[in-house]
Amino acid sequence: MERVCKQGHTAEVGKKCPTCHAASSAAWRARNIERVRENTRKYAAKWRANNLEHIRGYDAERRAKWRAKWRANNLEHVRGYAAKWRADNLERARGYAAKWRADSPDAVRESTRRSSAKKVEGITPSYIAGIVKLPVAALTPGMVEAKRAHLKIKRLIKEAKNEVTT
Amino acid sequence: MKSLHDIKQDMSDLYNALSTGAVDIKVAGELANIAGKFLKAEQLELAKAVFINDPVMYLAAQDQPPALEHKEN
Repeated sequence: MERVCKQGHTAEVGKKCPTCHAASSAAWRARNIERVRENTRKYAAKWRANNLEHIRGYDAERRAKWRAKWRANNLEHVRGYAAKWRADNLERARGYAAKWRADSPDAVRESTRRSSAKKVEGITPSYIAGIVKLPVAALTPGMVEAKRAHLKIKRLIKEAKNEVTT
Repeated sequence: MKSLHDIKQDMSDLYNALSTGAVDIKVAGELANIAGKFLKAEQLELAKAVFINDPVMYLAAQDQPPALEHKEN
């Protein structure tokens, strides 16, 4: 099979033109476009395989830059969308919760009892030490007991006040 | 003068009374505030003792770094 180089010389396919040593010609490329593409694909695949780390680094860097730019340009939009989504779904979630509370008063009562019990159990010496800003080792058992009773009654008063207001 | 044990007992009685509704919330709140003042006084006594015995430990509990000692060259 023969081809024509850029200068118009005739040469064999796959070899350089013996006259002008041109590698290829537009006419030859047009006639053998599939072959050119295949060669390009093979070359690109080989180059990618040899330069994988470089490609990954380049892609990651480019993606990070693009993402930062996009975020900067769309920050208000993102925030607005998130706020709207939260507002829309908050109403829906509150609706579901209110319906569940209305439908299952026993479960609500039990849940409240358990959470109250858990809160009281959570009054550990270390928790009290954090409140009074003293080392745990410095607290006397009497102080821990008295502070625990005090916290329990404060919580009970708070709950009672909430019940009165709601 | 009430001891910590007395305060704890009073708080427990008040808790039971409030749970059953025998005491008004406002009264209970005021009593709890008074008990809190007693406890604060006890807390200060403890803090004083800890500070005198071990200042580094006291400052650690206050979330404050201990002061660095100045060394003379």
